[in-house]
Amino acid sequence: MDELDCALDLMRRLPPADVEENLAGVIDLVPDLMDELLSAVDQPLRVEKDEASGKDYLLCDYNRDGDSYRSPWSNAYNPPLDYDGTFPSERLRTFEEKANGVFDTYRSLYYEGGVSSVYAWDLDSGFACVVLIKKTEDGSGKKGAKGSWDSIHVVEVQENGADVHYKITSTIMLSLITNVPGCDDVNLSGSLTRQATSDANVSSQDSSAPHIVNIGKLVEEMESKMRNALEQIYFGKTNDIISSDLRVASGLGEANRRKALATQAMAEMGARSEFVNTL
Amino acid sequence: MGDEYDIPDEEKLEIVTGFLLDAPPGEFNEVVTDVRTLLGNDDLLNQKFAATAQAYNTSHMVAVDLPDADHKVLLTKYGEISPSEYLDPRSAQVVTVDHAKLEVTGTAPAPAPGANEDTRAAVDAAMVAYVAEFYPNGQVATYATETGLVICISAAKFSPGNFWNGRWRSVWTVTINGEDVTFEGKFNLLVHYYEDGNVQLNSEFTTSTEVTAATPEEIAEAAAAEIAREESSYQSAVGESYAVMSERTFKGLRRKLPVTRHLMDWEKTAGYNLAREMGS
Repeated sequence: MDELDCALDLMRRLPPADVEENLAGVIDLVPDLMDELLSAVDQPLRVEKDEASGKDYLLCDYNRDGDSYRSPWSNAYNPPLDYDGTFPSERLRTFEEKANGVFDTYRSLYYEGGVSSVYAWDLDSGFACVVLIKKTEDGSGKKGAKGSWDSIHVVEVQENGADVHYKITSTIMLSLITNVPGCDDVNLSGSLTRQATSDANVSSQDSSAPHIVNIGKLVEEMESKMRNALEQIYFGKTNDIISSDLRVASGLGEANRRKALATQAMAEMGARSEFVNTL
Repeated sequence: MGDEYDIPDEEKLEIVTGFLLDAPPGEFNEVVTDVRTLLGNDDLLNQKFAATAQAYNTSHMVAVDLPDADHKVLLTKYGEISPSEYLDPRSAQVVTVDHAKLEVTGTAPAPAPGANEDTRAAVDAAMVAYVAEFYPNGQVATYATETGLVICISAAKFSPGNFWNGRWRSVWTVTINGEDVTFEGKFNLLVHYYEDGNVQLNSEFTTSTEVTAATPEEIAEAAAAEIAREESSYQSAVGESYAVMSERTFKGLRRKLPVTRHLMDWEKTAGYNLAREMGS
């Protein structure tokens, strides 16, 4: 494995609750890989206020130039740059403005709170954009729940005339902390990444709406699949490992008795269904 | 990028040592491979490697096979005689260990046990039965101390083929003062799932309880009962945490469907009229 593979393998093993600190440490070891690591390793999104519009926006590597971050609302960098920074082309900025409005609606429908931002940049044969959503519960609400959800969807749009190919890479970072009596802080955190592709025919090149609709549906489908996967892994898989492989609360004698009963029940059900089949 | 970004070797070594100690259960060797490549300086790595491997093994209370025995030896700081020698009270042996290979390289008879060996042996026997009943992959060691006993339970299951590993640790410090026996427990639970991601559950908890017991048999019976009760109660509290996180926090962060119970109408929201765009 080369250095980048090792760095990424390491980031998949170290505690996800400390991803920022761990990534900084890895960069200290291999500073030459800084740019690659910053774009390959997702970190929890930070929120900043756009003073011009009074609206919050999200910071990531895609709207960063030096130490400044571009707001999707005003298109201005904060802190201001003393050089010509990176901006999307005029066509893409139109797309970006519209996409930010549409995904703001999406965010409010599914998250009932939180912050969203969409950033776009030009590619040789199309463009790419990142759809970011962050929602945090600080434990002050009436449910007392503490946690955060960060969605990062990077979409590459390859345009070949009217034929368009979309490739989405989605990472959801989910961190949950509870404090029920009898076990103090239980911390369940991490991230999952998935990819998908889709093709479409976009005949109208003038409007950004068809792309927004296609990307929107892709993001919505991906988030809904990943929400199920998160539910299964976070609450199903890790809990199963504890209760069947680490400590069997009912005792193994009991577990074995139950297993035997289940096997017996299955056998009986099998016998019954055979009986039904013969009717 | 040039040398201006290079940090001193001592700082690099400190970072690498932190990463090694943070390795999830069963993944120490994988983290070693990663940091060795990233550091690119084996001489530097080797300066502290033996001490780091030892610190990791004893903190995780790793179990190593003991030749000609039906139990494994736990490497814990309570049994540590020297960095490479550990007491196995059950077999009354001192084992020499290779921390990197996790192998026993030699055994020698343990020094004569102290005064409370009867109590230690009775409690150990009760704990072996308890661990066999509740921990499908567990090991226990019971050590005699000047003030009583220390009981260490370490249960780990590694399933790298299925991208998960986990470990349960508990350390019980038993203080015997006349007929007053106190049990102070510290639990540590860590589960790692890493197929197309990196998800970790981490929980630590301390608890204590007190009983009256006089003879080794009474103390053994009390130990098994108290520890079983406290560990079961912790485990059910962890289960309750799962319910809270799943039923409240998770659902509160993102809904499964919008309030309308329908997927979003993207065309309408984007102001996209297909008929108009098609020019009809």
